[in-house]
Amino acid sequence: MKNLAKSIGVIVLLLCTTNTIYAQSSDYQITKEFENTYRSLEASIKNATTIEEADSLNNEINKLRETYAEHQSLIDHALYPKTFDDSIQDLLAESNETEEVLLIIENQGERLTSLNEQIANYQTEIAFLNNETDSLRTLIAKSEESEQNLSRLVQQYRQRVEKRDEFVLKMMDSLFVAYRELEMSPGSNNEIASSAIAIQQGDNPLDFIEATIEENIQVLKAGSTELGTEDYLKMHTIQKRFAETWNKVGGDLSQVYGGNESQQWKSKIDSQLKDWKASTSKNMWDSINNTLEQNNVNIGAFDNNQSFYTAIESFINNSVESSKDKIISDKNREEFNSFYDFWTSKVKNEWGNYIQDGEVLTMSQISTIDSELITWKDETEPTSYVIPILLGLSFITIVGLIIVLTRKD
Amino acid sequence: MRINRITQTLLGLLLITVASACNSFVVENVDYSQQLESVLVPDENGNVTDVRHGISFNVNALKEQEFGASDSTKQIREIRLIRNADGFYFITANQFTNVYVMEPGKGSLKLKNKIKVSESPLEDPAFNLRTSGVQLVMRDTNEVVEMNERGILKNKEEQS
Repeated sequence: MKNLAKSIGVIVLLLCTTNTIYAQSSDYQITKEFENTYRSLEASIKNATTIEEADSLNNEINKLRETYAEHQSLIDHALYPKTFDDSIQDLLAESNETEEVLLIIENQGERLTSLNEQIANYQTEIAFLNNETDSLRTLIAKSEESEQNLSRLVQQYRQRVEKRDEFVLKMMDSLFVAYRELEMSPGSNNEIASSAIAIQQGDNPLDFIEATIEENIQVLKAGSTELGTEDYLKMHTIQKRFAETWNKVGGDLSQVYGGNESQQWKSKIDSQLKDWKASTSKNMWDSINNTLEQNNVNIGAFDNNQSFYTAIESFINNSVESSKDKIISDKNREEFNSFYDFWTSKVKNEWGNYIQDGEVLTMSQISTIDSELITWKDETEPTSYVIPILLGLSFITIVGLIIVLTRKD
Repeated sequence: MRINRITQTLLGLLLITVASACNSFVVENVDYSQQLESVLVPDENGNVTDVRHGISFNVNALKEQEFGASDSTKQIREIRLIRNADGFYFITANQFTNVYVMEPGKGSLKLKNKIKVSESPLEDPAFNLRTSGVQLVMRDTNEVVEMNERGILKNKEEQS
Protein backbone atom coordinates (compact mmCIF):
# COMPACT_ATOMS: atom_id res chain seq x y z
CA MET A 1 0.00 0.00 0.00
CA LYS A 2 2.84 2.30 0.99
CA ASN A 3 4.75 1.40 -2.15
CA LEU A 4 1.71 1.94 -4.31
CA ALA A 5 1.40 5.42 -2.84
CA LYS A 6 5.05 6.07 -3.72
CA SER A 7 4.52 4.95 -7.29
CA ILE A 8 1.49 7.18 -7.61
CA GLY A 9 3.62 10.00 -6.19
CA VAL A 10 6.23 9.48 -8.92
CA ILE A 11 3.55 9.49 -11.62
CA VAL A 12 2.05 12.70 -10.24
CA LEU A 13 5.51 14.28 -10.06
CA LEU A 14 6.14 13.30 -13.66
CA LEU A 15 2.84 14.81 -14.80
CA CYS A 16 3.43 18.02 -12.86
CA THR A 17 6.96 18.24 -14.25
CA THR A 18 5.72 17.87 -17.80
CA ASN A 19 3.27 20.69 -17.24
CA THR A 20 5.86 22.96 -15.62
CA ILE A 21 8.31 22.44 -18.45
CA TYR A 22 5.87 23.91 -20.93
CA ALA A 23 4.69 26.63 -18.56
CA GLN A 24 8.05 28.12 -17.68
CA SER A 25 10.60 27.14 -20.26
CA SER A 26 13.60 27.59 -18.01
CA ASP A 27 16.36 25.26 -19.17
CA TYR A 28 17.77 25.13 -15.68
CA GLN A 29 14.33 24.30 -14.31
CA ILE A 30 13.90 21.53 -16.88
CA THR A 31 17.17 19.90 -15.93
CA LYS A 32 16.44 20.26 -12.23
CA GLU A 33 13.02 18.72 -12.62
CA PHE A 34 14.49 15.89 -14.66
CA GLU A 35 17.03 15.30 -11.90
CA ASN A 36 14.34 15.39 -9.22
CA THR A 37 12.14 12.93 -11.09
CA TYR A 38 15.16 10.78 -11.76
CA ARG A 39 16.12 10.71 -8.06
CA SER A 40 12.54 10.02 -7.07
CA LEU A 41 12.36 7.07 -9.49
CA GLU A 42 15.72 5.84 -8.25
CA ALA A 43 14.45 5.90 -4.66
CA SER A 44 11.25 4.13 -5.70
CA ILE A 45 13.28 1.42 -7.44
CA LYS A 46 15.35 0.93 -4.32
CA ASN A 47 12.25 0.71 -2.16
CA ALA A 48 10.19 -1.47 -4.51
CA THR A 49 8.90 -4.58 -2.78
CA THR A 50 6.82 -6.27 -5.46
CA ILE A 51 7.41 -7.30 -9.05
CA GLU A 52 4.30 -5.40 -10.13
CA GLU A 53 5.72 -2.24 -8.60
CA ALA A 54 9.06 -2.73 -10.38
CA ASP A 55 7.16 -3.29 -13.63
CA SER A 56 5.21 -0.10 -13.17
CA LEU A 57 8.47 1.80 -12.47
CA ASN A 58 9.89 0.48 -15.74
CA ASN A 59 6.98 2.14 -17.49
CA GLU A 60 7.64 5.35 -15.60
CA ILE A 61 11.26 5.35 -16.72
CA ASN A 62 10.21 4.94 -20.33
CA LYS A 63 7.77 7.79 -19.88
CA LEU A 64 10.55 9.93 -18.39
CA ARG A 65 12.72 9.20 -21.41
CA GLU A 66 9.93 10.14 -23.78
CA THR A 67 9.13 13.33 -21.85
CA TYR A 68 12.67 14.64 -21.71
CA ALA A 69 13.94 13.30 -25.06
CA GLU A 70 13.58 16.75 -26.67
CA HIS A 71 15.81 18.26 -23.97
CA GLN A 72 18.45 15.57 -24.34
CA SER A 73 21.35 17.93 -25.20
CA LEU A 74 20.41 20.22 -22.36
CA ILE A 75 20.29 17.35 -19.92
CA ASP A 76 23.51 15.93 -21.35
CA HIS A 77 25.11 19.26 -20.48
CA ALA A 78 23.58 19.33 -17.02
CA LEU A 79 24.59 15.76 -16.24
CA TYR A 80 28.10 16.00 -17.68
CA PRO A 81 30.17 13.76 -17.65
CA LYS A 82 27.13 11.47 -17.75
CA THR A 83 24.55 11.71 -20.51
CA PHE A 84 20.78 11.56 -20.68
CA ASP A 85 20.90 8.12 -22.35
CA ASP A 86 23.38 6.82 -19.79
CA SER A 87 21.16 7.97 -16.96
CA ILE A 88 18.04 6.37 -18.43
CA GLN A 89 19.93 3.13 -19.13
CA ASP A 90 21.27 3.10 -15.58
CA LEU A 91 17.80 3.62 -14.22
CA LEU A 92 16.39 0.82 -16.39
CA ALA A 93 19.23 -1.48 -15.35
CA GLU A 94 18.57 -0.70 -11.69
CA SER A 95 14.88 -1.33 -12.22
CA ASN A 96 15.51 -4.66 -14.00
CA GLU A 97 17.96 -5.70 -11.33
CA THR A 98 15.43 -4.87 -8.65
CA GLU A 99 12.78 -6.81 -10.57
CA GLU A 100 15.08 -9.84 -10.77
CA VAL A 101 15.91 -9.58 -7.08
CA LEU A 102 12.22 -9.28 -6.27
CA LEU A 103 11.51 -12.29 -8.46
CA ILE A 104 14.14 -14.25 -6.57
CA ILE A 105 12.76 -12.99 -3.27
CA GLU A 106 9.24 -13.94 -4.32
CA ASN A 107 10.44 -17.42 -5.29
CA GLN A 108 12.40 -17.64 -2.08
CA GLY A 109 9.30 -16.46 -0.27
CA GLU A 110 7.30 -19.27 -1.83
CA ARG A 111 10.00 -21.73 -0.91
CA LEU A 112 10.15 -20.23 2.57
CA THR A 113 6.40 -20.64 2.92
CA SER A 114 6.67 -24.22 1.78
CA LEU A 115 9.57 -24.80 4.17
CA ASN A 116 7.62 -23.16 6.98
CA GLU A 117 4.74 -25.48 6.24
CA GLN A 118 7.12 -28.41 6.30
CA ILE A 119 8.60 -27.21 9.58
CA ALA A 120 5.10 -26.84 11.00
CA ASN A 121 4.34 -30.41 9.91
CA TYR A 122 7.56 -31.65 11.45
CA GLN A 123 6.80 -29.78 14.64
CA THR A 124 3.37 -31.39 14.78
CA GLU A 125 4.94 -34.76 14.14
CA ILE A 126 7.61 -34.14 16.78
CA ALA A 127 4.93 -33.07 19.25
CA PHE A 128 2.98 -36.23 18.42
CA LEU A 129 6.11 -38.37 18.81
CA ASN A 130 6.96 -36.59 22.06
CA ASN A 131 3.50 -37.40 23.35
CA GLU A 132 3.91 -40.96 22.25
CA THR A 133 7.35 -41.11 23.88
CA ASP A 134 5.87 -39.75 27.09
CA SER A 135 3.12 -42.35 26.96
CA LEU A 136 5.64 -45.08 26.28
CA ARG A 137 7.85 -43.79 29.07
CA THR A 138 4.88 -43.90 31.41
CA LEU A 139 4.09 -47.41 30.23
CA ILE A 140 7.71 -48.47 30.68
CA ALA A 141 7.72 -46.96 34.16
CA LYS A 142 4.52 -48.80 34.96
CA SER A 143 5.88 -51.95 33.41
CA GLU A 144 9.10 -51.64 35.41
CA GLU A 145 7.07 -51.06 38.51
CA SER A 146 4.91 -54.08 37.82
CA GLU A 147 8.04 -56.09 36.97
CA GLN A 148 9.49 -55.11 40.32
CA ASN A 149 6.24 -56.03 42.03
CA LEU A 150 6.22 -59.36 40.25
CA SER A 151 9.82 -59.95 41.27
CA ARG A 152 8.96 -59.18 44.85
CA LEU A 153 5.95 -61.47 44.69
CA VAL A 154 8.02 -64.30 43.27
CA GLN A 155 10.59 -63.81 45.97
CA GLN A 156 7.86 -63.86 48.62
CA TYR A 157 6.29 -66.80 46.92
CA ARG A 158 9.56 -68.69 47.01
CA GLN A 159 9.85 -68.05 50.72
CA ARG A 160 6.29 -68.94 51.46
CA VAL A 161 5.50 -71.66 48.99
CA GLU A 162 7.45 -74.44 50.57
CA LYS A 163 6.31 -73.64 54.11
CA ARG A 164 2.73 -73.32 53.13
CA ASP A 165 2.60 -76.32 50.85
CA GLU A 166 4.30 -78.37 53.53
CA PHE A 167 1.79 -77.04 56.00
CA VAL A 168 -1.14 -77.95 53.76
CA LEU A 169 0.31 -81.39 53.15
CA LYS A 170 0.81 -81.89 56.88
CA MET A 171 -2.66 -80.60 57.55
CA MET A 172 -4.09 -83.02 55.04
CA ASP A 173 -2.12 -85.89 56.58
CA SER A 174 -3.12 -84.99 60.14
CA LEU A 175 -6.75 -84.52 59.21
CA PHE A 176 -6.72 -87.86 57.53
CA VAL A 177 -5.05 -89.49 60.57
CA ALA A 178 -7.52 -87.85 62.92
CA TYR A 179 -10.37 -89.00 60.77
CA ARG A 180 -9.07 -92.59 60.74
CA GLU A 181 -8.67 -92.54 64.52
CA LEU A 182 -12.18 -91.28 64.93
CA GLU A 183 -13.47 -93.86 62.54
CA MET A 184 -11.80 -96.69 64.46
CA SER A 185 -13.04 -95.65 67.96
CA PRO A 186 -16.45 -96.89 69.25
CA GLY A 187 -19.45 -94.63 68.64
CA SER A 188 -17.39 -92.81 66.17
CA ASN A 189 -20.08 -92.00 63.64
CA ASN A 190 -21.65 -89.34 65.84
CA GLU A 191 -18.26 -87.96 66.84
CA ILE A 192 -17.11 -87.76 63.24
CA ALA A 193 -20.21 -85.91 62.36
CA SER A 194 -19.89 -83.53 65.31
CA SER A 195 -16.16 -82.96 64.63
CA ALA A 196 -16.86 -82.27 61.00
CA ILE A 197 -19.55 -79.80 61.96
CA ALA A 198 -17.15 -78.20 64.45
CA ILE A 199 -14.49 -77.83 61.76
CA GLN A 200 -16.99 -76.57 59.26
CA GLN A 201 -17.95 -73.83 61.63
CA GLY A 202 -14.32 -72.74 61.66
CA ASP A 203 -11.96 -72.63 58.65
CA ASN A 204 -12.64 -75.27 56.03
CA PRO A 205 -9.33 -77.03 55.05
CA LEU A 206 -10.76 -77.61 51.56
CA ASP A 207 -10.72 -73.85 51.13
CA PHE A 208 -7.02 -73.80 52.03
CA ILE A 209 -6.30 -76.61 49.59
CA GLU A 210 -8.21 -74.92 46.81
CA ALA A 211 -6.55 -71.56 47.47
CA THR A 212 -3.08 -73.11 47.56
CA ILE A 213 -3.56 -74.92 44.25
CA GLU A 214 -5.09 -71.83 42.65
CA GLU A 215 -2.21 -69.63 43.73
CA ASN A 216 0.31 -72.10 42.33
CA ILE A 217 -1.55 -72.18 39.01
CA GLN A 218 -1.64 -68.38 38.85
CA VAL A 219 2.09 -68.06 39.50
CA LEU A 220 2.85 -70.63 36.83
CA LYS A 221 0.56 -69.00 34.30
CA ALA A 222 2.15 -65.58 34.95
CA GLY A 223 5.37 -67.19 33.67
CA SER A 224 7.78 -64.85 35.43
CA THR A 225 11.35 -64.73 34.12
CA GLU A 226 12.48 -64.72 37.73
CA LEU A 227 11.62 -68.39 38.05
CA GLY A 228 14.31 -70.81 36.95
CA THR A 229 14.40 -74.52 36.15
CA GLU A 230 15.20 -75.30 39.77
CA ASP A 231 12.04 -73.50 40.88
CA TYR A 232 9.91 -75.39 38.38
CA LEU A 233 11.47 -78.71 39.44
CA LYS A 234 10.71 -77.82 43.06
CA MET A 235 7.12 -76.97 42.14
CA HIS A 236 6.82 -80.17 40.17
CA THR A 237 7.95 -82.16 43.22
CA ILE A 238 5.51 -80.36 45.50
CA GLN A 239 2.69 -80.77 43.02
CA LYS A 240 3.46 -84.48 42.79
CA ARG A 241 3.43 -84.90 46.56
CA PHE A 242 0.28 -82.84 46.79
CA ALA A 243 -1.45 -84.99 44.19
CA GLU A 244 -0.32 -88.19 45.89
CA THR A 245 -1.62 -87.04 49.28
CA TRP A 246 -4.86 -85.86 47.77
CA ASN A 247 -5.32 -89.16 46.01
CA LYS A 248 -4.97 -90.83 49.41
CA VAL A 249 -7.16 -88.59 51.53
CA GLY A 250 -9.01 -86.40 49.09
CA GLY A 251 -12.15 -88.50 49.00
CA ASP A 252 -12.41 -88.74 52.78
CA LEU A 253 -11.58 -85.04 53.32
CA SER A 254 -14.23 -84.05 50.82
CA GLN A 255 -16.78 -86.17 52.61
CA VAL A 256 -15.89 -84.84 56.06
CA TYR A 257 -15.42 -81.15 55.17
CA GLY A 258 -17.42 -80.86 52.03
CA GLY A 259 -20.71 -81.62 53.72
CA ASN A 260 -23.47 -81.86 51.17
CA GLU A 261 -21.13 -80.68 48.43
CA SER A 262 -18.45 -83.28 49.02
CA GLN A 263 -18.63 -84.59 45.48
CA GLN A 264 -18.38 -81.14 43.99
CA TRP A 265 -15.38 -80.33 46.19
CA LYS A 266 -13.67 -83.54 45.15
CA SER A 267 -14.25 -82.90 41.46
CA LYS A 268 -13.20 -79.29 41.77
CA ILE A 269 -9.90 -80.05 43.49
CA ASP A 270 -9.25 -82.99 41.14
CA SER A 271 -9.69 -80.67 38.19
CA GLN A 272 -7.48 -77.99 39.78
CA LEU A 273 -4.77 -80.57 40.41
CA LYS A 274 -4.87 -81.54 36.73
CA ASP A 275 -4.42 -77.89 35.76
CA TRP A 276 -1.62 -77.48 38.24
CA LYS A 277 0.12 -80.58 36.93
CA ALA A 278 -0.21 -79.48 33.32
CA SER A 279 1.09 -75.97 34.06
CA THR A 280 3.97 -77.25 36.17
CA SER A 281 4.97 -79.81 33.54
CA LYS A 282 4.83 -77.34 30.69
CA ASN A 283 6.91 -74.73 32.52
CA MET A 284 9.39 -77.28 33.81
CA TRP A 285 10.04 -78.95 30.43
CA ASP A 286 10.23 -75.60 28.65
CA SER A 287 12.71 -74.35 31.20
CA ILE A 288 14.87 -77.51 30.90
CA ASN A 289 14.79 -77.14 27.13
CA ASN A 290 15.91 -73.50 27.41
CA THR A 291 18.80 -74.50 29.68
CA LEU A 292 19.86 -77.12 27.12
CA GLU A 293 19.74 -74.52 24.36
CA GLN A 294 21.83 -72.13 26.44
CA ASN A 295 24.38 -74.95 26.82
CA ASN A 296 24.30 -75.51 23.03
CA VAL A 297 22.88 -79.00 23.45
CA ASN A 298 20.12 -80.16 21.16
CA ILE A 299 18.67 -83.46 22.29
CA GLY A 300 15.39 -83.13 20.40
CA ALA A 301 11.82 -82.68 21.60
CA PHE A 302 10.51 -83.89 24.99
CA ASP A 303 7.54 -83.06 27.20
CA ASN A 304 7.42 -85.76 29.85
CA ASN A 305 9.68 -87.95 31.98
CA GLN A 306 9.84 -90.79 29.50
CA SER A 307 10.39 -88.68 26.40
CA PHE A 308 13.06 -86.69 28.26
CA TYR A 309 14.95 -89.87 29.14
CA THR A 310 14.49 -91.29 25.63
CA ALA A 311 15.72 -88.04 24.06
CA ILE A 312 18.88 -88.04 26.23
CA GLU A 313 19.58 -91.69 25.51
CA SER A 314 19.06 -91.30 21.76
CA PHE A 315 21.23 -88.22 21.72
CA ILE A 316 24.11 -90.02 23.50
CA ASN A 317 23.75 -93.20 21.41
CA ASN A 318 23.68 -91.27 18.16
CA SER A 319 26.72 -89.27 19.20
CA VAL A 320 28.58 -92.45 20.18
CA GLU A 321 27.63 -94.13 16.89
CA SER A 322 28.76 -91.15 14.84
CA SER A 323 32.09 -91.04 16.72
CA LYS A 324 32.92 -94.72 16.28
CA ASP A 325 35.83 -95.57 13.94
CA LYS A 326 36.19 -91.96 12.98
CA ILE A 327 38.80 -89.35 13.58
CA ILE A 328 37.49 -87.29 16.45
CA SER A 329 36.95 -83.70 15.53
CA ASP A 330 36.90 -80.67 17.81
CA LYS A 331 33.20 -80.39 17.13
CA ASN A 332 32.55 -83.91 18.53
CA ARG A 333 34.56 -83.11 21.60
CA GLU A 334 32.80 -79.81 22.08
CA GLU A 335 29.41 -81.53 21.80
CA PHE A 336 30.40 -84.05 24.41
CA ASN A 337 31.77 -81.37 26.72
CA SER A 338 28.60 -79.28 26.43
CA PHE A 339 26.34 -82.19 27.28
CA TYR A 340 28.68 -83.44 30.00
CA ASP A 341 28.63 -79.98 31.63
CA PHE A 342 24.84 -79.88 31.44
CA TRP A 343 24.50 -83.36 32.88
CA THR A 344 26.95 -83.03 35.74
CA SER A 345 26.63 -79.38 36.79
CA LYS A 346 22.92 -78.87 36.14
CA VAL A 347 21.07 -82.20 36.22
CA LYS A 348 23.11 -83.96 38.89
CA ASN A 349 24.44 -81.15 41.07
CA GLU A 350 21.95 -78.26 40.95
CA TRP A 351 18.73 -80.13 40.25
CA GLY A 352 19.73 -83.60 41.59
CA ASN A 353 17.38 -83.67 44.61
CA TYR A 354 14.33 -82.46 42.69
CA ILE A 355 15.05 -84.72 39.73
CA GLN A 356 14.91 -87.69 42.11
CA ASP A 357 12.10 -86.46 44.38
CA GLY A 358 9.94 -85.44 41.45
CA GLU A 359 10.90 -88.62 39.61
CA VAL A 360 11.85 -86.65 36.54
CA LEU A 361 14.49 -89.31 36.07
CA THR A 362 14.79 -92.48 38.16
CA MET A 363 18.07 -93.55 39.78
CA SER A 364 18.33 -96.39 37.32
CA GLN A 365 17.88 -94.01 34.36
CA ILE A 366 20.54 -91.68 35.78
CA SER A 367 22.98 -94.62 36.18
CA THR A 368 22.32 -95.78 32.61
CA ILE A 369 23.00 -92.30 31.26
CA ASP A 370 26.18 -92.08 33.36
CA SER A 371 27.53 -95.35 31.93
CA GLU A 372 26.61 -94.33 28.39
CA LEU A 373 28.40 -91.07 28.97
CA ILE A 374 31.57 -92.97 29.90
CA THR A 375 31.36 -94.87 26.58
CA TRP A 376 30.84 -91.64 24.71
CA LYS A 377 33.76 -90.07 26.53
CA ASP A 378 36.01 -92.98 25.47
CA GLU A 379 34.93 -92.50 21.89
CA THR A 380 35.82 -88.86 21.98
CA GLU A 381 39.29 -89.43 23.49
CA PRO A 382 42.07 -89.12 20.90
CA THR A 383 43.29 -92.65 19.88
CA SER A 384 46.88 -93.47 20.83
CA TYR A 385 48.95 -95.35 18.17
CA VAL A 386 51.97 -95.96 20.44
CA ILE A 387 50.95 -99.46 21.61
CA PRO A 388 50.11 -100.83 18.13
CA ILE A 389 53.43 -99.46 16.85
CA LEU A 390 55.36 -101.04 19.74
CA LEU A 391 53.62 -104.34 19.17
CA GLY A 392 54.43 -104.20 15.48
CA LEU A 393 58.10 -103.48 16.19
CA SER A 394 58.26 -106.38 18.72
CA PHE A 395 56.71 -108.71 16.16
CA ILE A 396 59.23 -107.73 13.48
CA THR A 397 62.14 -108.17 15.96
CA ILE A 398 60.96 -111.65 16.98
CA VAL A 399 60.53 -112.73 13.37
CA GLY A 400 64.00 -111.35 12.60
CA LEU A 401 65.57 -113.25 15.50
CA ILE A 402 63.88 -116.49 14.47
CA ILE A 403 65.22 -116.13 10.93
CA VAL A 404 68.76 -115.37 12.21
CA LEU A 405 68.71 -118.33 14.61
CA THR A 406 67.35 -120.68 11.95
CA ARG A 407 70.16 -119.71 9.55
CA LYS A 408 72.80 -120.24 12.22
CA ASP A 409 71.58 -123.75 12.82
CA MET B 1 84.71 44.29 -34.42
CA ARG B 2 82.64 47.26 -33.61
CA ILE B 3 78.96 47.24 -34.49
CA ASN B 4 77.75 50.59 -35.66
CA ARG B 5 74.67 52.36 -34.39
CA ILE B 6 72.55 51.64 -37.48
CA THR B 7 73.17 47.93 -37.22
CA GLN B 8 72.26 48.00 -33.55
CA THR B 9 69.02 49.77 -34.33
CA LEU B 10 68.17 47.28 -37.06
CA LEU B 11 68.80 44.30 -34.79
CA GLY B 12 66.66 45.90 -32.10
CA LEU B 13 63.82 46.41 -34.55
CA LEU B 14 64.13 42.79 -35.71
CA LEU B 15 63.87 41.49 -32.16
CA ILE B 16 60.85 43.70 -31.46
CA THR B 17 59.17 42.44 -34.63
CA VAL B 18 59.77 38.79 -33.72
CA ALA B 19 58.52 39.37 -30.16
CA SER B 20 55.47 41.17 -31.46
CA ALA B 21 54.77 38.31 -33.82
CA CYS B 22 54.89 35.85 -30.87
CA ASN B 23 52.55 37.95 -28.65
CA SER B 24 49.87 38.31 -31.30
CA PHE B 25 49.23 34.54 -31.51
CA VAL B 26 45.44 34.20 -31.32
CA VAL B 27 42.99 31.26 -31.48
CA GLU B 28 39.94 32.39 -33.34
CA ASN B 29 36.25 31.38 -33.08
CA VAL B 30 36.26 30.58 -29.39
CA ASP B 31 32.80 29.82 -28.02
CA TYR B 32 32.54 30.72 -24.36
CA SER B 33 28.88 29.92 -24.19
CA GLN B 34 27.46 28.18 -21.18
CA GLN B 35 24.52 25.99 -22.15
CA LEU B 36 22.84 26.20 -18.77
CA GLU B 37 22.68 29.08 -16.38
CA SER B 38 24.41 28.70 -13.03
CA VAL B 39 22.29 29.29 -9.98
CA LEU B 40 24.58 30.10 -7.07
CA VAL B 41 23.75 30.68 -3.41
CA PRO B 42 25.96 33.27 -1.71
CA ASP B 43 27.56 32.38 1.61
CA GLU B 44 27.36 34.68 4.66
CA ASN B 45 30.04 36.95 3.14
CA GLY B 46 28.34 37.13 -0.24
CA ASN B 47 30.82 34.85 -2.02
CA VAL B 48 29.62 32.51 -4.76
CA THR B 49 31.56 29.78 -6.54
CA ASP B 50 30.71 27.97 -9.75
CA VAL B 51 33.04 24.99 -9.61
CA ARG B 52 31.98 23.55 -12.93
CA HIS B 53 32.63 26.76 -14.89
CA GLY B 54 35.53 27.89 -12.77
CA ILE B 55 34.45 31.27 -11.49
CA SER B 56 34.20 32.72 -8.02
CA PHE B 57 33.27 36.26 -6.97
CA ASN B 58 31.52 38.31 -4.34
CA VAL B 59 27.96 39.48 -4.99
CA ASN B 60 28.05 42.42 -2.59
CA ALA B 61 29.26 44.80 -5.31
CA LEU B 62 26.32 43.78 -7.52
CA LYS B 63 23.98 44.15 -4.56
CA GLU B 64 25.24 47.68 -3.92
CA GLN B 65 24.97 48.44 -7.60
CA GLU B 66 21.35 47.22 -7.77
CA PHE B 67 19.94 48.38 -4.45
CA GLY B 68 22.37 51.11 -3.43
CA ALA B 69 24.87 51.00 -0.58
CA SER B 70 22.38 52.28 1.97
CA ASP B 71 19.74 49.57 1.50
CA SER B 72 20.67 46.64 3.69
CA THR B 73 17.17 45.16 3.75
CA LYS B 74 17.46 43.47 0.36
CA GLN B 75 19.04 40.06 0.31
CA ILE B 76 20.22 37.99 -2.65
CA ARG B 77 18.77 34.49 -2.15
CA GLU B 78 20.48 33.08 -5.23
CA ILE B 79 22.30 34.68 -8.09
CA ARG B 80 21.89 33.51 -11.68
CA LEU B 81 24.52 33.88 -14.34
CA ILE B 82 25.07 32.66 -17.84
CA ARG B 83 27.87 33.29 -20.34
CA ASN B 84 27.31 33.89 -24.02
CA ALA B 85 29.48 32.79 -26.91
CA ASP B 86 31.54 36.02 -26.78
CA GLY B 87 32.39 35.39 -23.15
CA PHE B 88 30.23 38.03 -21.48
CA TYR B 89 28.57 37.11 -18.21
CA PHE B 90 24.87 37.97 -17.80
CA ILE B 91 24.02 38.23 -14.12
CA THR B 92 20.75 38.86 -12.33
CA ALA B 93 18.93 37.80 -9.17
CA ASN B 94 15.53 37.92 -7.50
CA GLN B 95 14.43 41.43 -6.61
CA PHE B 96 16.69 42.85 -9.37
CA THR B 97 15.22 44.96 -12.16
CA ASN B 98 18.40 44.83 -14.27
CA VAL B 99 20.58 42.30 -15.95
CA TYR B 100 24.29 43.07 -15.58
CA VAL B 101 26.48 42.23 -18.55
CA MET B 102 30.01 41.75 -17.20
CA GLU B 103 33.21 41.40 -19.14
CA PRO B 104 35.85 39.20 -17.52
CA GLY B 105 39.16 40.97 -16.91
CA LYS B 106 42.33 40.15 -15.06
CA GLY B 107 40.89 39.09 -11.67
CA SER B 108 37.81 41.18 -12.24
CA LEU B 109 34.41 41.44 -13.86
CA LYS B 110 33.97 44.73 -15.53
CA LEU B 111 30.48 46.12 -16.21
CA LYS B 112 29.86 46.09 -19.93
CA ASN B 113 26.18 46.92 -19.86
CA LYS B 114 23.32 47.29 -17.40
CA ILE B 115 20.07 46.23 -19.09
CA LYS B 116 16.83 47.28 -17.52
CA VAL B 117 14.44 44.37 -17.97
CA SER B 118 11.54 45.20 -15.69
CA GLU B 119 9.97 48.06 -13.84
CA SER B 120 9.11 45.84 -10.93
CA PRO B 121 11.57 43.59 -9.10
CA LEU B 122 11.98 40.18 -10.69
CA GLU B 123 10.38 37.38 -8.67
CA ASP B 124 11.67 34.32 -10.39
CA PRO B 125 14.09 35.08 -13.20
CA ALA B 126 15.99 32.48 -15.27
CA PHE B 127 18.44 32.57 -18.18
CA ASN B 128 18.38 30.38 -21.25
CA LEU B 129 21.01 30.38 -23.95
CA ARG B 130 19.73 30.40 -27.47
CA THR B 131 21.55 30.77 -30.77
CA SER B 132 20.12 34.26 -31.14
CA GLY B 133 21.30 35.36 -27.72
CA VAL B 134 20.55 35.14 -24.03
CA GLN B 135 16.94 34.79 -22.94
CA LEU B 136 15.71 36.11 -19.65
CA VAL B 137 12.59 34.21 -18.61
CA MET B 138 10.42 35.95 -16.07
CA ARG B 139 8.42 32.98 -14.91
CA ASP B 140 6.10 34.97 -12.69
CA THR B 141 4.80 36.90 -15.67
CA ASN B 142 5.64 34.34 -18.38
CA GLU B 143 7.61 37.06 -20.17
CA VAL B 144 10.78 36.37 -22.13
CA VAL B 145 13.39 39.02 -22.96
CA GLU B 146 16.11 38.20 -25.46
CA MET B 147 19.35 40.14 -25.27
CA ASN B 148 23.04 40.31 -26.03
CA GLU B 149 25.86 42.28 -24.41
CA ARG B 150 24.68 45.41 -26.13
CA GLY B 151 21.08 45.28 -24.92
CA ILE B 152 17.58 43.85 -25.43
CA LEU B 153 16.97 42.25 -28.81
CA LYS B 154 13.28 41.56 -28.55
CA ASN B 155 10.61 41.11 -25.99
CA LYS B 156 7.99 38.42 -26.43
CA GLU B 157 5.32 36.47 -24.53
CA GLU B 158 6.44 32.94 -23.94
CA GLN B 159 4.31 30.67 -26.04
CA SER B 160 3.92 27.26 -24.63
